Amino acid sequence: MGIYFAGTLASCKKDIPTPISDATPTSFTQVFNEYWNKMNTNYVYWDIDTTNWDSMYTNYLPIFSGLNINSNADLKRSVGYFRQMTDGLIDSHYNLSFLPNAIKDSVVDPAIDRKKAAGTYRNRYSFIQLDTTHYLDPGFVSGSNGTTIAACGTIQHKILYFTCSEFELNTAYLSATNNGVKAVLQNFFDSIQNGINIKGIIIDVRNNPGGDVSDLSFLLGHLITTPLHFGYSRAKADNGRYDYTPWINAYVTPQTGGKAQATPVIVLADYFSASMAEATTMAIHALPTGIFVGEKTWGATGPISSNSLFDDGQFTIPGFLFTYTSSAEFKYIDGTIYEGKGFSPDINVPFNHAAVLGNDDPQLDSAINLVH
Amino acid sequence: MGLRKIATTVLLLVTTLAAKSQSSIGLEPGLTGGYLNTNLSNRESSVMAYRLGYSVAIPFEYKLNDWLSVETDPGIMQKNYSINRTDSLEGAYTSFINTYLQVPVMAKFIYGHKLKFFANAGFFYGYWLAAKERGETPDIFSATETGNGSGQTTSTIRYAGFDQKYPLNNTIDNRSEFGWLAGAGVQKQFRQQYIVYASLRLYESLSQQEKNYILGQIPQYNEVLSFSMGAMYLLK
Repeated sequence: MGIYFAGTLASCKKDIPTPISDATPTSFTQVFNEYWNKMNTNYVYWDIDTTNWDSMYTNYLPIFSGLNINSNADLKRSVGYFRQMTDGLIDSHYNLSFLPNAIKDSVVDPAIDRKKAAGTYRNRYSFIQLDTTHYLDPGFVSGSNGTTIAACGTIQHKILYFTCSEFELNTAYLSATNNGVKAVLQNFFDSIQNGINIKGIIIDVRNNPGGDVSDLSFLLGHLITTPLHFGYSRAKADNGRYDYTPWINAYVTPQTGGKAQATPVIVLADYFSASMAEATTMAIHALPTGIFVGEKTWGATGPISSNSLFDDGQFTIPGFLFTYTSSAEFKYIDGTIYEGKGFSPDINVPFNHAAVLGNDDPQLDSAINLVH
Repeated sequence: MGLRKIATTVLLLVTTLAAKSQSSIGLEPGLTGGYLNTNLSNRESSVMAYRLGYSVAIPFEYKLNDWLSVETDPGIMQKNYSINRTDSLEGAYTSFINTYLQVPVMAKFIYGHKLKFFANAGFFYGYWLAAKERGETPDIFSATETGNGSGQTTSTIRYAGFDQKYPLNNTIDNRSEFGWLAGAGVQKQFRQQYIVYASLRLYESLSQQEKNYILGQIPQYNEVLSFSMGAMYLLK
């Protein structure tokens, strides 16, 4: 009787509709509704973002509904409307790329637009050539695996220096084929283990846009012997705009052969250090002997993964656009979320274009001066 | 209606009816299986799942005739549920442990002689007292890659456990709940003054668990199936 009763009553369960569709849109109304609803559920910064997403719905639905999805002119207009809708989003990973031929070269990137509008944007500068040529002692190792460039060596025979252009280190290290990055990493790890005369370590992530999150422990786990707590992360718990999992601790995990550092560990980061480069910067800053030298970072601190990891973050509107966005919120150990703000250095040394043209690197000079 | 006002009304009702004959009072502990009725179909690797909890109530029944009573059993009820991850993320989950103060009012239809069968139908008001979250979630910063020596790599990620109070948010969380209930059970009377019974009941909320604080909100309704066993004392 009980089973029959439960079964009968369970059949009374409400059929809850969802406004979220994954269909290929055939009109701009469908494009807008799909995009707006997926943003509503997938974007992870609604708790601190000041964008009024409800207003975007009421303001832009009529505009998108007036566009013709088969018109190239309207497709181009739509990019401008997407730019307007997203210009205040604090997620500094955030960008939209488009699939229809008429707009496939268009990108909406609120963080870049915001920095350009504020007049703070400058051109990127890669320091690897300058620093390996003019600062590293003879015998340094540098190399590439085709995508990532890395270098390791000593400065003044007392400072261990490591740099990489992006974070694909673990993948390069595990590759079956020999590559330059693997040799650089081996040199760095061996130097830490055998570095009797090392008085300090400089890890340079300037101009580094980030990469694979597994590189964090893979690289910095060699500088510790116990887990390093450097922050917290959380993701969306379900479809509610403000429904999150609890904050969980973010650690750097020690690696085999790791060695705790009693001497200064200095991270060099700049305006273009983003994502994993910022996680690396903040983790080094959390070390007992960690010091951050350089400029305020980009402000894209939320880790990135596929949508399936947390059922949130990046998503597509089939046949129309791809939204690249953080998979989780990150909060530094000091309790502050630096997303959209950037992480500030202990010692601020602005980029000096004239100096680097004269083969001088004031930021690296400042880091070297901290090691005695 | 405020919680205090409801409690006062129920107390007055119980006191008034208890003064008369044909009424009974008792204790009813039970198990609950909670579920959040919503739509997660857009979340490819998440499913809603029942989660067990408990309930404890003080039932009061006023007998109108041999086959009909009115009953209320104010008490504490857990309305728990879990969102479980699926596929490669199996084992990760978030359980929501929600404790409500609940006041149902229902009609009780009774049939039989020695072993009697009964059915209930009525409405309830609940007030969300407290909440906790327990679970395991992927720790993105624990991501590691390992190789097999021939260039093939395997990515792994650990789960981080959590068990903490959820601070109820009056902007989002709808702490007042109203819904209907239906149930059935069996009861037996001993020594003229004692009744023991077992009861199965379904509580369906008609009010959403979250307030309408945003556009595009997907409704969420609590649903609880409870099994309880209780004893009542006939007041003479």
